[in-house]
Amino acid sequence: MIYLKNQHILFVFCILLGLCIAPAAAADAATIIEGQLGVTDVSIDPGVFMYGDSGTVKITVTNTGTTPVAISRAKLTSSELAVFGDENYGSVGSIGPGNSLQFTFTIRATTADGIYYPLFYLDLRDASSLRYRVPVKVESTGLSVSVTGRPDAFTSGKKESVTIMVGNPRENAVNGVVITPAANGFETTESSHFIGALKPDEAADATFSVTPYAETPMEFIIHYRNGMNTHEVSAAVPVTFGIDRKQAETVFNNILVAREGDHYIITGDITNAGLADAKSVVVTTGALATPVDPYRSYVIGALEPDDFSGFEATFSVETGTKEIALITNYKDKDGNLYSDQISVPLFFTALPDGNSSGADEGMPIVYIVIFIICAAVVAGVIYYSWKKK
Amino acid sequence: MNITDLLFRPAVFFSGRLEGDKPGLKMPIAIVLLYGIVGAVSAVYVSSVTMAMMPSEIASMGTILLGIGAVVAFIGALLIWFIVAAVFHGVSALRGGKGDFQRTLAVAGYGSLPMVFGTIISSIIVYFYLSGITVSPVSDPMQINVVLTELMSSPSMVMAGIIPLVFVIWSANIWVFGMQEARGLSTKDALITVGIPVLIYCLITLFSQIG
Repeated sequence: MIYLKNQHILFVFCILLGLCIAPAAAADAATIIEGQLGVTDVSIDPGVFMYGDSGTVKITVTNTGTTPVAISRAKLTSSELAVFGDENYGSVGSIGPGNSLQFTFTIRATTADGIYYPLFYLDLRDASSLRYRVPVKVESTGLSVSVTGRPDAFTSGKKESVTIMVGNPRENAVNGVVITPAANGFETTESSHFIGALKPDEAADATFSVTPYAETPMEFIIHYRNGMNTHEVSAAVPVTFGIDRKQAETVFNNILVAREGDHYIITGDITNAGLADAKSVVVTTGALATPVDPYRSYVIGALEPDDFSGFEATFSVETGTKEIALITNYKDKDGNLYSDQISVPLFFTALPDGNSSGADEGMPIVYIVIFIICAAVVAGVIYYSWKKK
Repeated sequence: MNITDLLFRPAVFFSGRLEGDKPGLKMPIAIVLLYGIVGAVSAVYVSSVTMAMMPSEIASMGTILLGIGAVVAFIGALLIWFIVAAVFHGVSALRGGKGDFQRTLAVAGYGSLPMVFGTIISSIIVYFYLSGITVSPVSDPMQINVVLTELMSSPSMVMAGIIPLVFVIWSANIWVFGMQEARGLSTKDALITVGIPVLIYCLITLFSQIG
């Protein structure tokens, strides 16, 4: 009886021992298999996500053992990031010894800036699993844009140069950087400027030839790609029309108006008192004066700074005109047209009235008749006086 | 005094009129004063046009300047009378003329009557011309002379200066007969006495008007 009892105890002990040994043996096998697999490479594109960006996480697993390892499934999980692509790895197969297998997942960063650690989970068919946390950075700082070149003042219709500098303050490179001017109140010679890739802490600039027509800010939009995601940032250049301190400036001196027949002639000197060349300088008369031949306009040509030239222009005016406008038209090196004008008082104010100007031309004939009559009378009187002597 | 004889038959007019060394000067003075008044009126009108060109600060003195213009024109007529008489008297003395200066003064005064007509006609021409122009103030006083020069060089103003010369010749005709009587000159000497100064005056006036 005692023997049987001992046999039972021994049997139960064996069973219990078997129950204990079996898992232990299985655990040892799993440890061996896990030791054969390892995450040998992680590639994240883009390197740093911006808010709303989608990208890929590529995880390479290598079997460094001598026996194949069967993999049931692989997945990437995160409570903060949206992960797609798990379904592609529902049944993976096995990795032969010395082989690698790459798992690619799509993630979308819809969280605040920070570093997140989605979990890569590899379920092994014959044993346990492989876990690996992948650090993913989310940082939404965009490109830095600054205006590094602009004129002192804009002039409506005058072509100027504006330089835009784009810098990359991000940890990762961006590519496809394109600066595009928005057509809001100005024209540009360049429709866009392609910069391309910008490495971290790298900057590039682009110069645009702009012609403003309104005092609205010039907007430049910078498009770029962070991985496969398109982003944009804009920069505005305030436009306030004013006088360019370096532009040409015409000054009249020694102005003299004289009457010449039925018209007037105005002469004088014109000096370029500015700091830039004045090209295609033309002097003519404006309001209240009507340019007439032979010098409707007087073409001077180019005037360098501090250079001067004489001019003369002919015009006619209506009766009673007290002053006229003297106009200078000139261009800068880009062909922008400028116009200056001053008022010139008419000192020669004894002007025939419109209704009597014609009479004034005819009056000498009347006077000649009067003269002849007077002369005839006097001659007759003298003749008579000598005859009656 | 028979004005008709003075104008048309001066030989008849002066015959026996210049009695003695001191003939009466009432009528010559009256004629010269009339000549001065007509000249003064014309001068005032021309001056008023000139004043319109003046800057406002000067134009406020307009009344005074107009008065000065009238007085100068009036006194100028008297001065011209004396100068003409003096010239005739001097030239006639060279030609052997004899007689008191007052006799020459009387002849010069009588002979000025046609010049009154010439001045009146000239003033009418000036009036019509200046009425037909618009005058604005000249901001630069230095330009007034230039403006006046242009104003005076107009055909109308030139004619207004030339036509009186015709009447000066009429006056010269009277002076010739008068000087014969006043200074006892022959016709030839009287023509030389009057003709040379008048010719010089006419040429100067013509060149100044045309030139």
